[in-house]
Order: sequence, then C-alpha cells, then structure tokens
Amino acid sequence: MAKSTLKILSDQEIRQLNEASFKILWEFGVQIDDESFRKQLADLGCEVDGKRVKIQPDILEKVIANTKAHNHVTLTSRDGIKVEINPDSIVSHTTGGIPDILDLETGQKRRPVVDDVIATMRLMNHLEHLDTPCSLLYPSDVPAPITQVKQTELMFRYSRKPIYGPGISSPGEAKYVAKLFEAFAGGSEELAKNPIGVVGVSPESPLKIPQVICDTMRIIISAGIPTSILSAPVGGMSGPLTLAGGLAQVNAEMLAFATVAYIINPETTMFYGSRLFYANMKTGCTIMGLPETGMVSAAAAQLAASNGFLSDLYGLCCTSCTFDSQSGYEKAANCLVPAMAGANWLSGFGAMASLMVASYEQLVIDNETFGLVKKVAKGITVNDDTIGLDVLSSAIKGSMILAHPHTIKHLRGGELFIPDLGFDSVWNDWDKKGQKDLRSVARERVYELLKKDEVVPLPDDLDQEVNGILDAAAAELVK
Amino acid sequence: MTLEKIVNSVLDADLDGVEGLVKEGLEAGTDPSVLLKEGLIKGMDVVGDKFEAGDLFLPEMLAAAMTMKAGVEVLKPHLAGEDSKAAGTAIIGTVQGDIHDIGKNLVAMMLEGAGFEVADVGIDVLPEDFVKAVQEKKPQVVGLSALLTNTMPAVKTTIDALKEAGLRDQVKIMVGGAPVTQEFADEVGADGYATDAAGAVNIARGFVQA
Repeated sequence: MAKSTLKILSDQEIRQLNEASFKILWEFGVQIDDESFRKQLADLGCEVDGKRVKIQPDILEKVIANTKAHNHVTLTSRDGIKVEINPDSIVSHTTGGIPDILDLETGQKRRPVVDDVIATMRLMNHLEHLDTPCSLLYPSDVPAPITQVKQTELMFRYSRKPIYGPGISSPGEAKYVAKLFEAFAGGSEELAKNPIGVVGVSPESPLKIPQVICDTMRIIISAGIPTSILSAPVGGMSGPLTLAGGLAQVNAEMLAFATVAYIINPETTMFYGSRLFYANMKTGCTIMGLPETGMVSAAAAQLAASNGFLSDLYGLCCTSCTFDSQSGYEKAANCLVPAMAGANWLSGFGAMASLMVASYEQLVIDNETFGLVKKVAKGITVNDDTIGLDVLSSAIKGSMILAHPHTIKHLRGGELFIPDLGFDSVWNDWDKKGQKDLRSVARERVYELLKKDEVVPLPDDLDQEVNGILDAAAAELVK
Repeated sequence: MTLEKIVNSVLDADLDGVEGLVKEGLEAGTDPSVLLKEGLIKGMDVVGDKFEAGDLFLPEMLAAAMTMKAGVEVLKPHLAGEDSKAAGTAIIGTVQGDIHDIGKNLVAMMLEGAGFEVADVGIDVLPEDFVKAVQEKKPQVVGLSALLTNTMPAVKTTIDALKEAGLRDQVKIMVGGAPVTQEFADEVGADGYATDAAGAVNIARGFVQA
C-alpha cells in the first residue's frame, strides 16, 4: 500500500491546473475525427465546431464522477494470481515493444525475436516486485501487421501474472487483441467481470483523437478491457515546454479521452497514463532520464487522484545506455518521486537507452529497484508499537536489544529493506566474491530464474481457439 | 549598416523586423544577391556555427531559420539565376500506419532553414503515395520517418515501392525516427540515417553536393 508522502503540487496548484484543463476543453476543444462520436458528444451537450468538440465543465464533472466510481480493478491471471489496483495501490509493469535487446550471452545489441519475448515473459514470472508483465520486446520475426496480436498471445501464454497488454494504435489489431482477451478470460461476459489485463491507447498531442484511435477505442472500451490513456506530449514540441503547461494539457487530454470512453462504455476503467516527457533541446532527440520526467509523473499522480483516476506513469526510465551510476540515479529518481506522490502503477522495468534498448539483466535489476521504491513509498509507520518505548525500557534494565522480540518481530515484518540482488555487506566480502559488478550478478540470476521456470501448456481447446485467432489475424492483416 | 542589421535580425530571430530590413536594403539599392549572401545567409551561418558548438538550443536555431526564410521570401522576386535556386529539393513523410509527425516536421523545418525546397507529404503515407510524390516533385532527397517499432517495416515497403517504380536510383533516401538505427537503415537499403534533425540536414547536404 502506498502512502502519499510527497506533494509536488499544493492543493491550490492542483485546482489551478484543473481549471486550466477545463478551460482548454471548453475554449479550444479537442479534435475528434470520428463523426458518430462527435454526434453522440453533441447529444450529451458538447458544442461541436467542425471536427472540434468543446466540452462543458458540467459534462466533465459527470465523467469524473463516473471515473471515480470505477477506480478500482482486480486483474486476475489464468493461474489465479490477482493484482488489485485501487487509489492506495502501488504496482508495476514493464515497458512494452522495445525494438532492441542486449543479447544475454554476448552483451551485444540486436533485434529481438519471438524466443526473446518468451524468455523475458518466463523470467518475469519470477520477479517478485513485477506485478503485471508486458511484452518487453518487439519481435522482429513476426509480420509487422500482427505484432501486437502476437505479443498479446505470448503474454497470455507465458505469463502466470495478469498482463499489461500492448499499446494499440490500429483497429485491425485491436479486434484480434480483444478476441484474445475474451478467449483467455473465458468469454466476453467473464472478461467484463474479471479483467485479466489492460491495454494502452494513445490520443495524439495536442488535443486530437484521430480516426484510427477512435476506431481502436470503440473495440477495446466496448469490450470492457481496462484502458490506460497514454497521452504523451513532448514538452516544447507537442505541448508547452513548461512543466505546468504540459500537465494542464495532459490533464485535458485525459479528460477528453475519458469523455469519449464514457459514451462508448462507462463501465470500463480508465487509467491516467500520463507519458509527458522531454527532449534534449540541443538535438531534438527525446530522452527519458531527465529529472523532469519524474517530477511531472509525480504531479500527474496528484492530478489523476484529484479527478478520480488511477494513475499509470513512467517510472524506472533512464537515458543511460549501460549499467552505470547514471542508469541508477535516473531510474531511482524518476520512479521514487512519483511513487512517493501516490502513483498507482509504474512502468519502466527492463528498459534502457530512453526505452529503445531492453535487457534481461535490467529486468532483474529493476525488480530490486522497485522493491526499494515500494519500501520508501510506504513511508514510516508511527504508533506505540513501532516507537518501541518498551525496547528502550528493557535495554536500560539490561536486556539485549538485538535479540528482543520487538526487533525480531519488526525485522520479520519488513521494517528494513533487505536487498535480494544488490550488494549489502562490506569490502572484504565483495572482494572475496570476486568483485562482481551488478550486471554480472544480475546475469547469473537471470540464468537461475530461467532454469526454474516451467511452462504449463494451454488446455487443448484454448490452444486451438488462440491459434485460430492468430491465423485469422494473419489472413486478414498480413498482405 | 543594413547588412549588419539583417545579420543581427537572423541571430536574434527577429521575425517582425527582418522583412522591413530587407525591404530597406532593396530600397537603398543594395544588390539582392548581396542582401542574401552578406545578410541572411551570413546570419544563418553564424547561427549554424553556434548550434554546432552547442551554444544554441534547437528552438533558437529554428526561430532563426524561420526569420531567414521570411527574409528570403521578400528577396525572391528580385533574385536571379543561381541565387534563386534552392540548396536542394526533398520530400518527407511519415510512413504508412504511423501518425507521428514531430520528428518529420522538425527535419522538414531544418531542411527549409538550410535552403532546401521541401514537400511535406504528411503522416501515414502509403508507399504508392511516396511513389507519386517522387514522380511529381522529382526531389533529390526522400526522407522517411517512423516512430513506432511496428511501423518500421513500412520504411522497407516504401523503399521497395520506389525500386519497383524504377525511381530508386533517382533519389537519395534517408530514414529516421526514435527506434530506427544505422543497422536498420543498412538492412532496408537506405542511403543515410541520422539520430537527429541537424544530422539529417548534414546528410541531405552531402547528398546534393555529391
């Protein structure tokens, strides 16, 4: 359970940003390419001017009330593993669809294939602090028009945990992704009752929902698949450079998307998936390790909560291209700050190089980092028992603090973070163990965990149904 | 004196002032070619040097390039021969299935700033539409952009379509976008790849000067 211990925005600043977002939606509106959505929004009371839809505050209030009523979801995997996400949760997911991987044997960058997707999914089954795996990699040996469908299949097939599905940007693939969700959930009604994962859908910045995204939303949201709204303006390029300006814009884009989702299916849970980020303004290349990524994610966590959303934010992201101090400080800062501000779901497991390169070792290292982040985000429990006056009193009387029941109880209860991967002893021990760096230790762990994993085959009927969906997708989409 | 002011107007990205200064120069009888080379281009050269040295940010460079372009528009009717010619011609677009345009727009603006005549064919561009654009515009350079890993294959499809149409050898192709790499550029048979917009301009310059 998270405890918001950091307020990067004051209550007054949250009010000001929300007012700005309302103003954006009422005065500028949002471009919605789909005519039937525009008509339905007009029926709801919005003002439609060409393709722009201006949304009144009272409609937004209605959408916010509905969002609040649906801001808790329990994802259940095929194996029965449950991940509950509610306003007090802090859970994690991996980055998805990374185009390159560092080969585990050679350490060299290369294009991933289906076998890498499977191996990383199997590895993720054993990462304690990773709650919802996504297909970390983009498999280069799958025809491009069905990669998202294939990734979804591999996630469901090999993950024991509920999944964070792909970010979908085409209705063609959305149709088959939705079919896979239904097949693995055991039917459409079961899917609506017991979701087994989520998907991401991105509006375009600034303030635009293109036709392909409208069509994708219609399929995913009507199927009741919880959806993360991945609004991703780049500060200074597709949104204001100022952090406050970007936040007001993202907040408006979230509310606009949620309004469209409301007319499609008000029962579907929407996540506030702010992906506001920044570029190296000397080259224009977008980079993920700037501290502002964490700052705006923290602010987004607060804004999301103020509007009744669950938040799904950048977390363990970095610009660094290797396993160095830069990677460590960028990932920790960008994850810790939003976690402390009450973020519900954080991303970034397994990613390096501004989400463009993935690695097996990084997955294992991020598992450790997220464990640490969760510990800090929990804050400090203060009560009569934890203050422990009895311990001091008995110590004064001569008893040993180290062996005191209070010490043992709270040590076992998780009062101190116990690293599982990182080094936690002294120089001599490090020397004796061969002066290994974190990457070497992580690589050994990857091999150990992969050896441990056992693949449980799908029941025959489900296997056949899934293969049928894949075949149909290939027949329709691969030209 | 006006020339120095024109140089400074580009340096300061004085979009409001540059047109008046160029007109002032023309009215004073200064050779339009001199106004172009000793004023606008000289200013942009200084900006380019500062940008290369890391002393200017990209937005400052773009603002200067837009200022220069505004000045050139005033001069255009008065320029003759070589001076009126573009530094090169290019078409640029985001490949099929991809609706992202920031990187593509950035490269287009930077190319224009470098004196190229650029036709932006937009986003989600079908391979056959790239073919049509090349047939119509006859550019020296074609820029293909892809931001998503799953739209990268459309870069190859587009290059293949240009090959099938017999146009491949008439153009130089450069590719870019966040997931695109030099290895990918080599795989799909592109002529050039850059990690950023300034790099793309250098490649395009190299293509047209070769």
